[in-house]
Amino acid sequence: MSPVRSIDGSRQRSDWPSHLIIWGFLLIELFPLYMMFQVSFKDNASFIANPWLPTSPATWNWGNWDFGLRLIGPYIANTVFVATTGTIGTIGFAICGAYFFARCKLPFSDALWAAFLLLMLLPGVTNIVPLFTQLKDLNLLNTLWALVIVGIASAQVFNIFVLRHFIEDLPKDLFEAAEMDGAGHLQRIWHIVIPLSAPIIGTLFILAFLAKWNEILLPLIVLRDKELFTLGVGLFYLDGEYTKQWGQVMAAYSISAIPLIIVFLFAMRFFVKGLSSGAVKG
Amino acid sequence: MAFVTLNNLVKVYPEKSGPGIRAVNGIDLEIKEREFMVLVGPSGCGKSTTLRMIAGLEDISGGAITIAGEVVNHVQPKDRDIAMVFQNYALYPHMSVYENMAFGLKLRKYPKTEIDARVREAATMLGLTDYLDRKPKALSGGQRQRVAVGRAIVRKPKVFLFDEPLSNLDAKMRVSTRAEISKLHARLDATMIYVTHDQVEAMTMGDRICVMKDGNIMQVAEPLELYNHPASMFVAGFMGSPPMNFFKGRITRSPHGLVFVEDNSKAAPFQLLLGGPLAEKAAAYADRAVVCGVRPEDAQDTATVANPGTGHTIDAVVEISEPMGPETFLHLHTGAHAFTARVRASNPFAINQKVEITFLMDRVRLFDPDTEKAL
Amino acid sequence: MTTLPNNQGAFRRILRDWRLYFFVVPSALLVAGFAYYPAASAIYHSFFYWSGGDSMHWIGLANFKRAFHDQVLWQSFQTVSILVLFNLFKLIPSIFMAVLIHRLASDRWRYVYRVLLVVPMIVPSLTTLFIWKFFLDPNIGALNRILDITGCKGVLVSIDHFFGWGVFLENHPIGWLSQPELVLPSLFIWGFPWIGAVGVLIFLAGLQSINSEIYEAAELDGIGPIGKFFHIELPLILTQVRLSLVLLIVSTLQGYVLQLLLLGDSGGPDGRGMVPGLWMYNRAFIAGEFGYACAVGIIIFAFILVLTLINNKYVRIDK
Repeated sequence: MSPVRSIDGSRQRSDWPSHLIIWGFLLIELFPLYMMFQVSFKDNASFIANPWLPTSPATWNWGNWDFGLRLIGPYIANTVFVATTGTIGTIGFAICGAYFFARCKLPFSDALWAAFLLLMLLPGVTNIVPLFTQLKDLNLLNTLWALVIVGIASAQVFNIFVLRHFIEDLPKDLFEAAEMDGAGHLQRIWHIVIPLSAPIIGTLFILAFLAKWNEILLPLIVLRDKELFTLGVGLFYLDGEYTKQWGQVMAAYSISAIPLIIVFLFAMRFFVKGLSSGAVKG
Repeated sequence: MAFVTLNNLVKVYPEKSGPGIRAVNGIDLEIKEREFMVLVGPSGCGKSTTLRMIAGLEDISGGAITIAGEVVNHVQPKDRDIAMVFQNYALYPHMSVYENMAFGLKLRKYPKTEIDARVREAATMLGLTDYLDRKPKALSGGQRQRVAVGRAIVRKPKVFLFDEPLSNLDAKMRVSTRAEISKLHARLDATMIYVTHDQVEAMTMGDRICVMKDGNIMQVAEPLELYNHPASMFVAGFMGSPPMNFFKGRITRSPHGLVFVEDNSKAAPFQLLLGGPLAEKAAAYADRAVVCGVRPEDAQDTATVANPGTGHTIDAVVEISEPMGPETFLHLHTGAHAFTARVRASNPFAINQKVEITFLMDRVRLFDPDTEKAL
Repeated sequence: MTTLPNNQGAFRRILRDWRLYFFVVPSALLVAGFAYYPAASAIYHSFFYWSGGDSMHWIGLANFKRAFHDQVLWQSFQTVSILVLFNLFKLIPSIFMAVLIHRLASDRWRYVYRVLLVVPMIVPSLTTLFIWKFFLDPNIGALNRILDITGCKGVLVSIDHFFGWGVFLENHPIGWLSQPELVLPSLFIWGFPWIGAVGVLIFLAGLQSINSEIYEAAELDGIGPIGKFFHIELPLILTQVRLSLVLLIVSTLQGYVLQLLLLGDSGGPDGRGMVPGLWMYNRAFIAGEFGYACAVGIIIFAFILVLTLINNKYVRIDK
């Protein structure tokens, strides 16, 4: 009998058919990424003549990227602001809220929790129409802060839900030891909750950032001035233009991915670890 | 002088309906300065709850706790000048040994040099110097336990609290760590309150032992006093392994004096002639039911006893014998009562063999069957 | 010694620990202000004729009566039901992928694949959506080109001839998003091969909890690879699968970004891609009928609520 056994207990056999299938799927998954990148260096003529293969780097048309950057650079700046502030606010408030529900058994906390849970049943779709008039009344229409605030509010329930269960599963002893060591609640959050739930916080951070980065409905409704457009609105109007230089459009798309690449570079380890450990259940 | 005082201390856990569960039932206890006090009892007796109330981790439902003359009921745990060693050690997994020990001092804003000096002193005392940079995960159970103790030491608190700190160690480690903590107590000269369910730990470590049951204190005494003069059947049965044997019976008068007669309908009941202090205590119970308690080591094979005498030997049948080497645990019965004797091993015993057992009468105890208190 | 009444203890705790409430105040205020208030407002306004401004008047249940006879709304619920079925089907590749990766012998490859799965996420899903729209473009889109190159176009045209659909024509590029008949198929193809990185990772996490002894026992019992999936793997990731199902159904029912971006605010040719959410959006922001839009929103909410309740009753999710 062969000494090496695979996880499913069968004797070591070659895995190559599985690898082949997985790579097949992955290549199709990565195909849009590839197309986006290689078309971004072509003009329309060379794209139509040769849609599939990349041109040699020597003939790359960096003008597309220059154009794309000038076109959506400001949108990206706006989106970075909205997504970063929104994500930090979302996770920060959610950690505090989850700590409250997980560790402080105070009067009314159960009732409050029930009110939070009820919201999970309430689809966001119903809200958008009244939200529009509410933001108008608050003079928040056509501001980026509207996106930040609504973004934070709508993400609270999910994040608190996940974090609460995670914090509850941390050993109670640690919090008591910290209490004896003289740590206040904020210090307990800072020294215990955050370091010990880093993978889950990293995962939630990325998920929240992605959600805000990809938000389009609310910005579409809220924003009027071109200077305030976020990526979603920018791409929406870019898509609506009648004649398109595909190379320029693809360059703009490629640029739209750069901030996410940066975020993933920092948090990829946490993300894969957090999701793989089964931490996100709800 | 009492250093830590519990005064009519009550803990009630609220229930959805009803008056709530009384985990601690109005207890009074005085712990002297530099004393090693052990709270011992079966699980659910309220010992941990009491400790946690002293620590400030649990609200006090009634009564008062005084530390060094000051009532601390509403003082935050961090301001009570106490340190606690937890059952699962509660080491911060993301911090090194050094950081774990320094954390409490750092939060209290001690100067760096002071923190360093204290941590190194404690590490030397506990033999942890080589492990200061390791994370708890890379330590053995015994080392983790020492880090937990070190974290308490560096704070130089007025009172140390231990919550079953040895229960997660294997049997060998437990014995050696027990001695370590006793030495530490001698060296630090501090007040220590130690919770355990293990009567051996209580006997070997405590200056005094407080036995608890169902939220009440059963007896507070020095270890040997507790062992030799248990105040109740519960204490007598709880302290000692194997536990004390109990025989139901009554006191009757005989020409030689008062006699304990076993309740036995299946065989001839044995009789014990009572003398000395035992007879004085039994006098009030003449012709009444009592319970007679005999520790296994006080029941000996008559063949091995130098002067067996008369009036305190009984006949019993061997159910099983467990040779331990220096001695043998004999599980016997008299027909009505099963009991254990811890006899000096001389020769093997066979099942169903008849043996004559001699009770060491000056160590026999009598209890009231209704109140379960010692006579 | 008398027992303290519970409410007195609660009161004392509030007095002592009231500062703790500050931890939850930001979340609670935001949720109350920007989730509960608009929801209440939607219910309130659904009884009004209201075009978004200050003027509105009470019309009772007229909005709901109108919705009941609204052919577009009925049609949109039909469409969205079909989309739910599509999306349920699209869950299969993720499960398949997770099982494939899980059964690999090499730890290193399993990690590599997990990371590679996440890589496509660096492209914002919004951008992916527009790239797909580009793929579906009749003249320069990749899909039509692939069909041309591989000769599949010819097959489609002859099938079309046989059935007489008039959709796939010899010399016309296929208008995936402009032919009414092709709107739903396009929404089906969209996102091929339908692998969600987050889903695969969560399934993998569930599969990891399977003890290798269980596999060995199964092997002794003579269970084959497919049997292993149905008897061991699927039951153990059922929690995750059910959860994905529920989230997927709810998000499909209320989602309309995809339709809005691919097909426009009127649901594409013939309104074939009109879904309830998009109809609500359309009524509010295109037609200016805010009151009616609120009523449509409430109907969608009620629909989802009923499904959730049924789901909670019959499909248990063990937390």
